[in-house]
Amino acid sequence: MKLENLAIGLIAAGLRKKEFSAEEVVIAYLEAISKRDREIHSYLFVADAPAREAARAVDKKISAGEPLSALAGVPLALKDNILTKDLPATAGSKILEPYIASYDSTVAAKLKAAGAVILGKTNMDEFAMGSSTENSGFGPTKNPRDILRVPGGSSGGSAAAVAGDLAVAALGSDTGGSIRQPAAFTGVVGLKTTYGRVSRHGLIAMASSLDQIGPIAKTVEDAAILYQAIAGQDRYDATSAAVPVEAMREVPLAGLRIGVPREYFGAGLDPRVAKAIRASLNKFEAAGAILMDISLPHASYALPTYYIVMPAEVSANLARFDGLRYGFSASGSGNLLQLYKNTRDQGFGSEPKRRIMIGAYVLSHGYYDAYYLKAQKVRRLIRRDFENAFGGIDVIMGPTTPSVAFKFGEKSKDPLAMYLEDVYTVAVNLSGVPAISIPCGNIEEEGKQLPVGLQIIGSWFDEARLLGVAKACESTIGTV
Amino acid sequence: MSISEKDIRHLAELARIHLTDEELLQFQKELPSILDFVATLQSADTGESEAVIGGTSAVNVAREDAASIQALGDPLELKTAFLKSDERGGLIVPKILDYEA
Repeated sequence: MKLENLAIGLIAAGLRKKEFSAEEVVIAYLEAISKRDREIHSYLFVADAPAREAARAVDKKISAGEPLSALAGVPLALKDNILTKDLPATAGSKILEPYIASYDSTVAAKLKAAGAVILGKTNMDEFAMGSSTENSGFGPTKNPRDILRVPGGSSGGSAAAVAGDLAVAALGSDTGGSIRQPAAFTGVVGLKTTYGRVSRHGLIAMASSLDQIGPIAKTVEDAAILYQAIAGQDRYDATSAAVPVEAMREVPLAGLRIGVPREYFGAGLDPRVAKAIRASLNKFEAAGAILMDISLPHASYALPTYYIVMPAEVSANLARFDGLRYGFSASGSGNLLQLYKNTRDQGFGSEPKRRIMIGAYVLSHGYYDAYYLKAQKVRRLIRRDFENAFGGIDVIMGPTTPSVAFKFGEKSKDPLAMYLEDVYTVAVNLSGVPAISIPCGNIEEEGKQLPVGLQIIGSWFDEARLLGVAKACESTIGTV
Repeated sequence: MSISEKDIRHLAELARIHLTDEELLQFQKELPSILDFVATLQSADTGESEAVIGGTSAVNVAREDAASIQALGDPLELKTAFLKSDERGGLIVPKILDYEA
């Protein structure tokens, strides 16, 4: 029996029936990682000994006949910006290379309490800034579907680990598309939760009004299990909301009102991606769903708004990396100011520097009103577009990304070309709504099957229905 | 738009980043195209639209914004923690940064 591609439900059943032990499952994953991750490079750190120990603790419970929690013995991977006690947390940056987390993030604590086994920390674009993992300070991750191509980013390591059978599922973080875009590129499921749905306590902050943690998994069912394990209000995160967490609901496609925004099918979209999305929508319509042509009039402003709001918050959040408080500190610096400057010059890669400087620019006296304040006003209009749309529909559907996975080096020399990857995903973060990407077909290129992601956007705190819709769509699309 | 070398140096100063000559040239080339792109926002009609602050509509629950001497501790105790005070009774604390504007 191959143990490294089982769904969470099958692991749970197998453990209870004693078909295999938790330790056997973990060993199967650790062996797969040591064999195949040299090429993929999805992990920055593998927690070999603690993972075995956690699995043995689950086995002890099984032999003692104690009840098991939902994630007992399930091997998971966490993005490296999510603190896990006593494990490194670099956020993909050299500036945090020697840093070891001194406490558990709320999500890590919840997963551990549910019996999950943490296999390790996954690669990412530095401080979650990028769409390809090419911005990682520790080298890029390769896409398991075609190793000449990027896995997407910034949660590219988490997506590649799941797609490459190197973890059952994983957690990522999504500030402008960083869960959904890599899920689309690697052919897996990625959920960005409603702003306030999951605690960010212990998440290394990038842009605090946008960041959310969410699951990456092989199936909607697995994503829903992980979602339920991590969601909910947390006293350590004042932005987490007091909204009850519901389990995934069964939603029939018959009668479902699907809004299809015309702005998401315009210039810049690969016609092959558009065709795959349309084909899926037609299947849903044949199953009884009602397709409704809608407009999100401010959609074209989402990307420029995002690239003002996000760098502004980045410039504030990354001020704490100064050579004194965390990780790397430049040696031979004369005074304190020199220490700050040298540490940040040597520790940060190009992308964080670029964004910190843009942030400083848009927040400066004389530019604040024209850039930052203007962007926050447009953000209100973008949010209102969704409020208006959800008055008459249940969910919104469109492409997750404008293209399929691209090759290494194709966009890394031109920051603006890379930013355009986020064109369909950032409005969701600016508005705070939840969205999921599920695979909906492949495009063949140079003999490789490259996955296409369908993005389904739900209303605020409506994850239970969003997941149910995604599950119905997943089974209607069928195995691809 | 274009950005002068002096502006880039000033931004780097604000960002507390020392830039090499190579980086300076690179950013002088890249930043204008990014700023041109985000400036397309100027054409958006924001009318009476109210700016979004933070990602949530939740409201802060905080005490009234009134000064409380208790919150600062005993002023005499504070005063003796430092060696010098100025003529108005202010405390002179040790210098931390040498900032060249």
